[in-house]
Parts: sequence; structure tokens; C-alpha cells
Amino acid sequence: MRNRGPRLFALALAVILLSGCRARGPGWAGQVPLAKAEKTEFMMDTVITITAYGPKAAEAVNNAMAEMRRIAALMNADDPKSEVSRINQNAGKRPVRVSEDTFRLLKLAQRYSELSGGAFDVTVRPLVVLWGIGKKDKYVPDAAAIERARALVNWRDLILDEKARTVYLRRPGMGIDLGGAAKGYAADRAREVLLEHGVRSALIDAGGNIWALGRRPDGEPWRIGIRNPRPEHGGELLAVVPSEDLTLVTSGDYERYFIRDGVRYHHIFDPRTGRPARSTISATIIGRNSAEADILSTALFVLGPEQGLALIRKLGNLEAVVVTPEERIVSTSNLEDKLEIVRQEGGTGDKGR
Amino acid sequence: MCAKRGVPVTRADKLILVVVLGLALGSFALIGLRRAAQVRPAEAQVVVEVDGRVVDMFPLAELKPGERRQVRGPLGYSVIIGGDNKVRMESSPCPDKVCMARGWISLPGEAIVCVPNHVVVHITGSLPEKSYDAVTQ
Repeated sequence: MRNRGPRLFALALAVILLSGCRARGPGWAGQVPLAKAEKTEFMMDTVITITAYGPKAAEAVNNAMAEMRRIAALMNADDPKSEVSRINQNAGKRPVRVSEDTFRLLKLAQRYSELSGGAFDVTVRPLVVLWGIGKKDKYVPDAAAIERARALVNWRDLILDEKARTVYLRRPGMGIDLGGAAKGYAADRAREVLLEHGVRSALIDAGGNIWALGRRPDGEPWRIGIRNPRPEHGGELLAVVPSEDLTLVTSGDYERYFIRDGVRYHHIFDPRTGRPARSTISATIIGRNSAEADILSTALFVLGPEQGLALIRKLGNLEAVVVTPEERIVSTSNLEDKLEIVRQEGGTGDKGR
Repeated sequence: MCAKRGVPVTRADKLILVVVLGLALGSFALIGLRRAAQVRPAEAQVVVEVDGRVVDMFPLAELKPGERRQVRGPLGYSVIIGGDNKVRMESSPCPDKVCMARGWISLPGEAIVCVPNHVVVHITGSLPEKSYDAVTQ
């Protein structure tokens, strides 16, 4: 009897102490660390950074970046030679034949324009041009001008001919704007290119549209932060989502905006009113298709917590987080356990701003 | 199993106990040492990039409150200004002034981006347990 105690104690202690050790993937002692490649470029009115790990990471990142440049050139409405501009220039005149990429994305955009009841509308260009947020100086158009532009926004007047692969806007003055979809689509394409090069661990940051590919090189899920729309209340980050093979896209009223007479005017319009949407201040979609998440984050932002989250639940396979104008955080129920709220409640996270 | 009633503890048993304990504790010490080696207590550096190329880099502490530095981008000069261990964009030739609205940055990982003038100012240094890899915004 007297001998049994120490032996069992030693065994138990060894088990407890050793159980803490486990493989944590590459980068651990004795293993060759994965090659890392990172590249940053300015395009699509934003900054794109791709970070990838793997034996062919450098080539993969270069090719993924080139693919994003190709998409950007097709879809930039501010470049008169882009496909999107040619569609807009020919509004009310004739159908325009486009690439498969542009056609595919317009089809997706039109589908979600319909599903969201026009809260997202791919033909929003006349409103974008009228307000010129970030381009004109604190300009608030008068009601008549807003009404004229709003009347030109209607996804039903976008005619997509699958066989001829042509796009036609029915009325002169109409215009499509893929500002709320092209970054997501480009990120999806970049992910495809990385996968083709055997990359299994990467982060694509397309101006705040994130694709978290696989896991981190240390074997843990990527940790993706959601920006706090009001950093003066609780700090830079709202929450963190552990993410494996997920894309996260956020629409917020803090990205491009101005404040006049105490009112914040931002770049996400409600096509039904012709004015900046007011039901939320931030809307995040978590899914597996970044173009879809990009479009739906705008729809969710415009529809607001109740109708918006109802739409997300109906579509399925998606998670979402919104911040209300009262700065309340509301999410889909599956996400509640995974979402790590890091916003500091109560006190101010202001760092002397 | 060897832990039967009445089997005496031999010297070898005690040796095993000591060796196993030593190995376990030693491996923890090793992990701790590796962690310590990774987190270099380097001071925060301000890195200024134009078109992805580093054009200036200096310790954050070196930038005195009110001290300015110019950064030349395709649109002209963006000007950053120091504060009490922090930095912000004071003026920029861009139309939207998003970079100026960003306000002060002070922590490793934070960045000011001026898209039109292709300027990125970010802070590097030892990350105090950075809790995320990227931010959706």
C-alpha cells in the first residue's frame, strides 16, 4: 500500500503535463517553416494585400494579384474604357457583349437585387454619381435632383441575354455600379488562383473584404476582427471571429462619409429613398462566396437588423452581424457562440482622438 | 499495469519518476524560452510606404509632438505629424481626406491609408498579444 501513492502520482503528473503538448503544424522545432509571400497593391479605389504560405507562395500571390487587376479593369465604372462603362454609355441605345466574368457577376447581382426587394440595386450608379461621396465637397443634392436620379435606378430594366452574353440598360441615363460586388468577386477569383497553385493557407484583404483561406500556418483558425463603426466608443475592434475557409465582408457608414449640420452622409444608398441608408451603421456577412457576401452586406445594411437578418436566415449557410444606430450588436444565432466581442463596454476606448 | 498491491518501489521507479518529471518540466521551459525569443522587445517603428515601397522608417518615440514629415505620392505631398507617442495624417492632397479622418495611430498593426495618394503609414514592433490577423471593414 505505502508504495502505490508515489507511483500513481508520478503517472498522473506525467499524463497531465505531457497532455499539454501537441503538434501545432509547420513552424515547430525540426520542421521546415512554410515559405511566406506578401504583396500590396492599390486598385479598385482601395488597398489589396495578399499573404500566402506554401512552396509556390510567391508565384501564387503574383498571379492572384494579376487576376484581381484583370477583374478591376473590367468593372471600374470610373474608367470610360471598362466593360461596365461601355454598358453605361450604351444605356437606352444597344446591348453590349461582355466577358464571362462581368456577365456572371451581373447575373448574381441582379438575383440579389430581386431577393432583397431592391434594397441592393446593381443599377444604383445615378445616385452614386449625383451624391459624389468622397469626390464632391460635402454636397447634399436637393430633393428634385434625388428624385430624378432615383427614378433611373431599377434592376428590372437591366436586360441580361444569356445566349448572346449581352447586357442592356433600357433607359438612357441609367448605369450599373459594381462598387458593392467587384471587390468580392475579385477576391473569389484570387482565392481560386491561390488554390490552383497549391496554397492552403492565405489571407486576402481586398480593402476590408477578407478571404481567410484554410488555417494559419500555426494550425489555428485565422482570427478576423470586425471593425468597430464608432471607435470612440470602445476601441478599434468590435469583435473577433475565428475563421477557417470563410470570407467576411462588412459595409459601414464610416468608410466614405462627410458630416454636414450634424448629419452623417455616407456612400451606401437606399435605392428606395435615394439617400444614405439609416437602419444600421455596420453590417457584416460571413460566408463562402465573397461576391455574394459583398452584395448581401450592402443589402443587410440597407434593410436593417430585422428584415435584413430575416433575409440572411432565409438564404441559409450564411452568418451575419449588424450594429444598430444605437450601437447594439445583433447577430444570427449560430454566430453568437463563436463571436468574441472585444468592444470595451461602458468606458471610452478613445485614444486621444 | 505495474501498480499492483505489494510490489515495492525500486530505485528504477524513482528514476523514472524523476526523468519523466524532468522531461515534462524541461519541455515547458523550452517552450517558454522559444516564446520569449519570438517576442522581441523592439520599440514601435513608423513605416511609411508609397506604392508598396518603404520610403521612410523611424522609431515612433523619435517623432516629437508637432514634428512633421512629408511623404511624396503621385498627387503631391502628404504630411504626417507626431503627437505624444502617436502619429496622424495632418494634410493630404487627396480629395476624400479619409486618411486624415483616421486620426491618431499608436499601436503596432495600426495603419493610416491614403488610397488616392498611394501612401500607407503603419506601425510595426513587438505586438502585445495581437488578437487578430486581419480586419473586415
